Amino acid sequence: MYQQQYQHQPAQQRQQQQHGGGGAGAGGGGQNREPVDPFQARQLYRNELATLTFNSKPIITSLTISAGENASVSKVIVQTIEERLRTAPANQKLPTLYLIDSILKNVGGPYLNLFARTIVTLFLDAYAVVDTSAKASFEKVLGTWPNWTSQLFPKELISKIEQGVRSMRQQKQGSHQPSSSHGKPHHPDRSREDPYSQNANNMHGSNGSQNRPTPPPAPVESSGDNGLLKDIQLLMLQKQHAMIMNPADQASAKQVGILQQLESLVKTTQLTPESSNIIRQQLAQLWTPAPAPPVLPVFPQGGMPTVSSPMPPNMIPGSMPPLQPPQPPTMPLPPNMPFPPPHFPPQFQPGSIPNPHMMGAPLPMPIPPAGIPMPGGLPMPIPPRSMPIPPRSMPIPPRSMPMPMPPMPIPSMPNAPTPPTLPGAPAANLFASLMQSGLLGPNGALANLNRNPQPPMMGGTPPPPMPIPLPLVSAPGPALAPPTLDRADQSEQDRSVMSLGMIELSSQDIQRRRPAAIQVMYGTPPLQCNQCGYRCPKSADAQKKMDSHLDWHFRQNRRMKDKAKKSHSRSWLVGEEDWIHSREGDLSQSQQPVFFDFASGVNKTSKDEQALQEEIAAMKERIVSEATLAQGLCGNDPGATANVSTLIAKGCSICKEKFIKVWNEAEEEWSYKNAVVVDKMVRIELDYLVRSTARQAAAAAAAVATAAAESMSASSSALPSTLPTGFELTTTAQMDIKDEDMKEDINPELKVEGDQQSQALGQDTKDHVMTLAAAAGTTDSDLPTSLKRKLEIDNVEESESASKKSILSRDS
Amino acid sequence: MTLPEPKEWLLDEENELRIEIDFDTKVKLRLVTGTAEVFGTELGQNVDYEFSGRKIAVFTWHGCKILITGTCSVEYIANETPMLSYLNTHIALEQRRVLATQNNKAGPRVMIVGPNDVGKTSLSKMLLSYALRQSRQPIYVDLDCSEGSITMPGCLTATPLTEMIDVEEGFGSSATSAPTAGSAVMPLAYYYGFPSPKDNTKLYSLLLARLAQSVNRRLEEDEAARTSGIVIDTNGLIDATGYEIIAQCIKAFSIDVIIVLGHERLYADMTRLHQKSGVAVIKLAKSGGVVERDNAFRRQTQNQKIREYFYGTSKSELAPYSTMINYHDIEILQVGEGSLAPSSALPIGEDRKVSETHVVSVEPSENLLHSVLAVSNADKRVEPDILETNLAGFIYVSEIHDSRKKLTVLSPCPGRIPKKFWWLGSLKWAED
Repeated sequence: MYQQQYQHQPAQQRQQQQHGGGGAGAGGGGQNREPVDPFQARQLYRNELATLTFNSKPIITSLTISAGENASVSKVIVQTIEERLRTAPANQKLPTLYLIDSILKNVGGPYLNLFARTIVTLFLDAYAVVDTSAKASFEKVLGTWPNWTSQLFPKELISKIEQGVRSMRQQKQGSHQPSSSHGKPHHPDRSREDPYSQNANNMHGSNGSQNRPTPPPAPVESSGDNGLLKDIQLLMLQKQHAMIMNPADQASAKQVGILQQLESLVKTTQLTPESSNIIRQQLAQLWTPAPAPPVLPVFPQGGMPTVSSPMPPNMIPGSMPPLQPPQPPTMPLPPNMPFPPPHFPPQFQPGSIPNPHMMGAPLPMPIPPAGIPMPGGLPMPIPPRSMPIPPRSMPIPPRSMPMPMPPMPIPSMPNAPTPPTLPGAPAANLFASLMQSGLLGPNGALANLNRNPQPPMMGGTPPPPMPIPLPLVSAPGPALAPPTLDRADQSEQDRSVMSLGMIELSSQDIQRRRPAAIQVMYGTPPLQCNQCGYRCPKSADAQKKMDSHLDWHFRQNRRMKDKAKKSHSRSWLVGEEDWIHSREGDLSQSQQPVFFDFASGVNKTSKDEQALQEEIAAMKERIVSEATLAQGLCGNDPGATANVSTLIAKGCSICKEKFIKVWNEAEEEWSYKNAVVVDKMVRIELDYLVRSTARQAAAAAAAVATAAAESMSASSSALPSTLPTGFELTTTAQMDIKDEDMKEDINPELKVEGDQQSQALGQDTKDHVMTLAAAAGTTDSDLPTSLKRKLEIDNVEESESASKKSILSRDS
Repeated sequence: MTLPEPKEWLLDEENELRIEIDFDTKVKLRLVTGTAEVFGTELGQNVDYEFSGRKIAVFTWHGCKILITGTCSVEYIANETPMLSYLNTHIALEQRRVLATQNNKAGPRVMIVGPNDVGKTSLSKMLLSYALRQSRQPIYVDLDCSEGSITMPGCLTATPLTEMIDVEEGFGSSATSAPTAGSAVMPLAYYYGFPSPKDNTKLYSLLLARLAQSVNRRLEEDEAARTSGIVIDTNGLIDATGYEIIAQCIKAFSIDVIIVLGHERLYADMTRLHQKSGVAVIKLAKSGGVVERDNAFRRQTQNQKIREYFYGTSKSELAPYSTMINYHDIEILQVGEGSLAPSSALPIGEDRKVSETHVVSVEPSENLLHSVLAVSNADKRVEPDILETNLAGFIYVSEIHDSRKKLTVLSPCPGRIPKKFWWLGSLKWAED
């Protein structure tokens, strides 16, 4: 299972993707489980597929999951993928093949038959045009098919492909020269492909058996929940990544807690399809949230009775009223709210649905995507089933306190008889929302505990009121915040419009003078863009809107600046169906519609990639002074500076490349090109950036492994042996990371000093991510804001980073 | 060349500064203090806006000071404007949008009718701009085939708007997903190819129906657009044919608000014919700033449009792409008219009307030189479906190599031209 999870590491891309296109998230996250509109599915899937222009595991993973979730429209998806494989430029075919491979192996089901129909020609056609190295990868993939745990394709089919491959290879032997080896740009090549392709070799290597997804060790009663379980575990992994990547990310921490509970819930109970659907929906929503801005909802004056904390602490232990978002009567909510979701389990109080938007329409109002405070605490309507883990059985330390050894809830053993304790504070928030949605009982236990004898202590007596520190993040009851904000915003604007009194659409009434009408257009107090005169309607999230508007300017200006570098053209218009089913956000900002691919014969790389390459090229010119490096390497310890130069002279600790020493005239000091200090090792910056993904993966995998082997001591030397087998086949570079970084990460002695540095480093990395993202932002609509927000949170929470170190070293 | 001194204009409350700028001059406009808007889009303070070949009305609700650099052919301040009623109309529509949102119903579907040169397009722009300013996402439907404010003349288009309408570009020039400086819009365009609906009424109503169908389908899914509603700009035809088209339009788009601009009789007729429960008919005065555009001006506007389609504006330049194509790789089509046989030559019993939508192939020849052709999204030539297939874009024939059976065309973007069926209309353009 772990291999599989690893293989499926979902990451940033996915989030970006979802930020990009408003509704586009639906397909990726599989939000609409009910009848999926094939057109829409096709659109969404195609959009996501269009981003698969290079070997990107996260994208492949995400697409695989999408495919799994949308099995009902598998036909459409298969068509889309086939189309993609056929039309993609030669250097982009391999990732698509990996995607097919991934879907076959991890999803299977209807996809096996569907792909079987065309796989021979599909494979061979693509094989014929790709370059030699890609051919090898094609063959490796093919090599894993016959001996897969389950039969992927009938033997005849595979042998047909093999024959085709063989004959093509023989032809080639004559004219050995690979005709179509595209000169791939050096850096992106190195940067993007190495980790994956090696990994891919590993994945698809002849001894692929090592990587077979083994069924989860958990006792799964209903096989139908298998997928769900997988979802949960994947999601959990993602959150753990997020946590490790960003120690300050409390939101993920608490989500992990919740997810664990969910996991065991799913494992130990028989869910009705309906309830698993609901869980899925909630999971889908959890995929998105980047740690969200800790924004207190600013309610329009008079609109909202002052609620210091919409979720008073006593709410939690107390009896559970069908908690409703504190809606003031003045809020002009639609009188007949059309949203009681029909699929809700009967236990639900309709009133407890905090947000109409959340459940209902597939395309909610255009919420500025980045601006939604979604600290993960979406109310998760988990069907009130048993739950073996009593959630809050320990006193919660105030969050700012460095949690000494917070027993980090990394995967509990499925049937762990002892209720693991949770770091309550982070989870409290989510729990609160769970309770809010009526799922958790008054005690914070799941509402109906009847099925599970496990948590006796949760029985009758409610524990004492929990001291919730209510830090910024959890204060506003974030689950409620987004809808309320949106609604409030809408109503504020609407109110001023309506307050004029209904204007009759008659030629007489239209002529009457209404001074207030002008006021509607030029609202007080003005929040106005100084670049174009755009005025934000007065509302609770005006600032956020303005932010995204300014981001838009930023992107536009950037494009203007780029004009000299690359020319822009008008593109072709989309087809009728695509026009009907697409939304402006998808088309104009997040990415080029796939439709335009045929025009990409000339510029093979996608816009994103181009931007990325430029950014990387620009970054390459970065120089770092010796002093800075020394500082980074030795902290403030002056004694250690002596060996700095020897360290630097050794070159990059990853690739051993020597640093280029240059004289920085401006600063009058010796500097090194692209050097960066990472965890006390000096590295080529690009290497670091590129490997950091791998590193996070490694860290996460290790975390999972550590947790899985709870009985084992977590001494650093023991660690490698706890790694999943598949993991050992990673590249030497990754081994490097594993050996050095991971030990360091996990070794508690290094924790304290490492902390500070990694903090700074984290910041540094974020900056890079920012710039990279900004580059990619030419095609992604809302990234800059979201990232800025993310940074803000990070800063806020910096002090209270219960860091990854402590998490990882919990057992020692 | 020395820059002319900037000229300062002080506007009182609810005054309008009207300027006309020739095609060959450029004028910079800057709002110094106060507030001002151009066709509903608010100007930013101390931002330079550059115009060329435009007739602009800068209106202020609160009074303002404006600096103008450059020579305008016409410039004056007017203090009588119908802006108040335009704003009230917007507020009334906005109220309907609020109710629509609350009740999950459809927002107002507005059609603006009136003769030529009363400011229909300007009013649509204003109403759309106002709606956008209140975070709505209306769809703009342009049925004026003579002008083509979104793509090119000869098209019927529908365009969802989400970003502010650019003051300098109007909503004209973007119309793409290319990263231009202005807001990028993605129109749905059907090719009609004649300046007036009268030229081929059957085709026009065919396309109108198709456009309405697509828009309605989108509105079903697009909640934001549904509650924001649509604004339809019509062409100035108000004779019997025009009335028929208006009636068809009302039905096809489920119009519930008809705005009659600057024409009393039309207002009376519309009230009589269409005012019933659910459909409101209102009349608005035309703005004094609206001037009659002579043919030369229209022609120049058209040329400018075509130029902008390929090359963009000075602010956001685009790079078109020249490519050579074999005659046999493409198929040039034409509808009806040009190919109509004389009635006497028709088979007995054959109805002339049939050939109005008849598609004929056109052999590539020198005649195509300087033509602007519309590239259909169709993959197969199936009649009558191909007529109703929307457009992928336009190309311009810059050279004909008849002897080699090739032609050189200007395509808006690099790469192969996606589709092989190209419509020939009456549009010609002499690239400078």
